[in-house]
Amino acid sequence: MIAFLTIGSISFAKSGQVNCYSESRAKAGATYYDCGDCTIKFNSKGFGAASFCETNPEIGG
Amino acid sequence: MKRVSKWFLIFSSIILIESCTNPEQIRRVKISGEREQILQNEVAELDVTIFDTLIFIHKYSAESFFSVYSKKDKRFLRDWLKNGNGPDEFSAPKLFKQLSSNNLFVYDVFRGGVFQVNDFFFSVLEIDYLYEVDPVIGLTQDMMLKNDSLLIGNLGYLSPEPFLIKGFDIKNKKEIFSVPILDLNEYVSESVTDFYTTFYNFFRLKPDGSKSVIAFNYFDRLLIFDEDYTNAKKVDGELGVKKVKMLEGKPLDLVNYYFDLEVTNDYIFALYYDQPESEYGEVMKPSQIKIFDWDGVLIQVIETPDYLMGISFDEEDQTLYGVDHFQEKILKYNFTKILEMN
Repeated sequence: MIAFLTIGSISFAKSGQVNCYSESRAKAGATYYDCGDCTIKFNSKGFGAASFCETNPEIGG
Repeated sequence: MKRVSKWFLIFSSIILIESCTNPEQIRRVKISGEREQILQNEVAELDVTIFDTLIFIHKYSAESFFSVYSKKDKRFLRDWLKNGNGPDEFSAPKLFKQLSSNNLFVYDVFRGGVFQVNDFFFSVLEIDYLYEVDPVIGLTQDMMLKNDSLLIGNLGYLSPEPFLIKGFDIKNKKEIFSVPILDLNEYVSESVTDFYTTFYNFFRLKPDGSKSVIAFNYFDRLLIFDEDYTNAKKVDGELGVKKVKMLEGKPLDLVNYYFDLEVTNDYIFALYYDQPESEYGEVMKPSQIKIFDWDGVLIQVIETPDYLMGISFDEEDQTLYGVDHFQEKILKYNFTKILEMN
């Protein structure tokens, strides 16, 4: 998974990071990364401003 | 070097046939007296599956993934499939059927393994472990066992590649075929990083096995495939397919179009929104059920007063069940008269 770090209009990919959301709405079949524990959540869609988090493979990120 | 399968090359040359629909011929029906609210759950519902004599309500953020009710009297029978990481628990279970025998199965994208569901009569719903699955099957979302070993499914949660449908021999653990994203492959060159989200779609096989259908969430398009997936009829909305804007590989300004599918040998029932993603869950826009035949002809547009997230059709009773997640309702619509018009 590759994420992009944005500074102004320039983006940098940083290994191990993903786009995450702290806000979500239920949506059957959708997925998003929750910024809280940086794990992938099912049946929800991330909304609002995205930020970055480091996934933890041990807990399913 | 990445292996390019023979099937991939074959399907790269899939023939697309466009379907034209005259809007004047489409019958529009507003649901009124044929609607009944049947359940009000304490846990927000996501989807509904009718199977045998049972109603399976897919729940959201609950201790168990399903509540099971009797179809006949709407009596609550049990909670089913516990959420967790223990030996008898599940992480992301999906229900799917076997075409040839009409059996019900469970597949969990993280836990792996295919389980057959038994003991419907007493609603025990024991699950028997059938197959260990290769993680690659986690790339599929909506699935169907066409026979004892051929599992067919669409683009799934973990998919890193641009395909629509895959076929797996789950007994011999090998991929049989894959169908690329037809006619939308211009996006592949735009560095899409999340194919699953961008091309999120719903997949169903016609019960007689002769055709299958895909409906896209963010494109106003249905694709109807023949049995060997070499031909696809493209059924686009009245305004055609609007291009999704991409920024750094991620889609922007999305519009929700198709939201679920149900099929019989005669009809395709497609839950349809036409609502900007930014309004999703905020503006309770009434949902439509578009009814197509298997030639891709739009026959009827049913306007419901509800904001549906999932549907299931009960052929025996000619009834469509719907889940209104955001308004916490489960509805039942009698389609007998609606289908008699065709």
